[in-house]
Amino acid sequence: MKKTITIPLGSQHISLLEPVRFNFSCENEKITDVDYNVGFVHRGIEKACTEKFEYKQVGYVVARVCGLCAITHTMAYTLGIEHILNIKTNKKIDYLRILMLELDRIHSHLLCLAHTAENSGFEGMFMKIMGDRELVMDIQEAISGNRVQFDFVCIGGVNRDISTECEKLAFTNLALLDKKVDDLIGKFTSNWSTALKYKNIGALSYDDAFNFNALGPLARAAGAAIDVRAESSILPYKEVGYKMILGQNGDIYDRNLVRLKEIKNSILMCQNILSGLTEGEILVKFKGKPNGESFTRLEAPRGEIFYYLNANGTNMLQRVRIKTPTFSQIPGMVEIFKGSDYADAPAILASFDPCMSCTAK
Amino acid sequence: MLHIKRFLKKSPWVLHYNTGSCNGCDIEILACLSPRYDLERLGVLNTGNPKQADIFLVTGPLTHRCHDRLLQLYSQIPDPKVVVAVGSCTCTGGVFKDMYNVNNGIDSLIPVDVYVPGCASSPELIMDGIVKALEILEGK
Amino acid sequence: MQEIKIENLIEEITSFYDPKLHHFVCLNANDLGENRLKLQWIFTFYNQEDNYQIFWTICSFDEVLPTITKIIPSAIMSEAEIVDLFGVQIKDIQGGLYLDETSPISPLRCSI
Ligand code: SF4
Repeated sequence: MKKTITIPLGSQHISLLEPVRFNFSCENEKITDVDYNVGFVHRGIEKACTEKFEYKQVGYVVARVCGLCAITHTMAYTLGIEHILNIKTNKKIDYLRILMLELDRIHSHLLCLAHTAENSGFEGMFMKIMGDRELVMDIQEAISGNRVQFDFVCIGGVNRDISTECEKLAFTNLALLDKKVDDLIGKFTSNWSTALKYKNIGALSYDDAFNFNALGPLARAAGAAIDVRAESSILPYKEVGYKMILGQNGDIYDRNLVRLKEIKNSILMCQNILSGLTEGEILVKFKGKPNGESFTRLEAPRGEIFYYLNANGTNMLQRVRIKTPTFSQIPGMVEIFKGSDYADAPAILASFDPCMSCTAK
Repeated sequence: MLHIKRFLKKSPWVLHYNTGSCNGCDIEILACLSPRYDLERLGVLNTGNPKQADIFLVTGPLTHRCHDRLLQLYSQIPDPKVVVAVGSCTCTGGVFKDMYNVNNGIDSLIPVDVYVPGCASSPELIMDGIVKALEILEGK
Repeated sequence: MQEIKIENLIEEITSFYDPKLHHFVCLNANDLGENRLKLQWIFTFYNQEDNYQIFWTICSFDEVLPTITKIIPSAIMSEAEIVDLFGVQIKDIQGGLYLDETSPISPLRCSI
């Protein structure tokens, strides 16, 4: 007779950056059921955005929902409020915004890959990727003045212009990184411990990707062409060389490869933007108080991010609704866990790249 | 007799727990362990087991659900121990101050030895904080 | 935008939703005061630019709402969230996703 035992993972665990608790019910080695508890970091940001902070400040507060995709949160909020206030930004502002979004995507994907390597027991690879990641962090620090919380975007434009030294530094670092990513692609396709042993582990099928509303790299690795960058025209992604990257099997191996190839695509986009930047204003003046509602979608490193804003003509917003990628993907993640080996659980979890502070707000 | 204290300073192990932060400071702690900043040259190793840890790195403004877990982890770390609060929101609540599900900083629950400010704290500041923590650890 | 009645919710969404064509974004709630709650089920279309389909309704806090998790499994998170934060009742969905005994009850609800 099979006996079911329950093994907890979390809330504090060496392979977790954030507190989240999973209870795995296992029969022998196989996971049969998963119970999740994701509310450890719930702080109540949605309420504070409508009661404590004025609409001009909210952009900086929502950046603190998540440090990894801080710029995406600010960006989505800003685009929403600009839609309500009817502000039209110029090309230069749009390009600078895409530049920071893509730099953020590069560093977030690299962090995830480093984590995957660490969870497969390859400490040296973790160190190597974290070392390479510093190249992007340097560019971000040079452009925005901060390494993690940039506070770069504001209503009507961006807070800082980009200097020629920054541009030079960005070009050299991106070229260096491009070579290193090529090298990493080699390691993530041929090495046993980071690549080959993860074939067919933690797989999500093409149909399930749609049934469970998968997003971001998780969906694209399964071959589903789901990307807000292709579905939205708010930011001119098509002009800067965006390309959709798809995998086939939806396993850990494919997810890693999709991330690496997206990094290459992002590097290309950044280079295109930097070489095509023109002179121009970086801030558009605006008047008035917001009145109305808006729906905004944007592609964060982990998938679609959605903001609903409702303003009633005062300094305070009436409702801010934040929907983040990990939040709606949790049922899909649970589905993937079922039927896999318990020993693979940390690796599968790392390959999802979950973000709990996004989930719980 | 073994001079434990002398050796303790040479290899302090850190335990890291997130009590509701935005991840910003957590990834900076990870960056500290990476080759550019290389915390390991001070003998620091990241551990997942509170019973082996000497330095407790905490980030986040202490949400209600993390309250009991933090207390448990703190009491499981053997003496002598040092608590380092990384990030503005860990020290005072920061941006999250007075939100309905937070407790305005971890010093409302456990004693804090070193406060590291910044939102997000830069790796240099975190390193400084840990060096300071080592001095305190020696004196304890 | 399409207004629906809460009794017809399941039929409307079943007849509309095709997993390969539509993407369920989230269920959004907005407290309008005076015991009125506006609910919005937000969908988008894959491979179409900025095209939203929104079903909305206004209900009161005493009603027990039906759940759409049978049709869209990922809706369970959105539903559990509004059960917690607004204190509405949804069939078969329990609270406790975010809040504990020490937290305030239904914090996003207007005080009146
Ligand atoms: S101090 Fe700022 S960056 Fe650091 S965890 Fe808190 S909110 Fe995030």
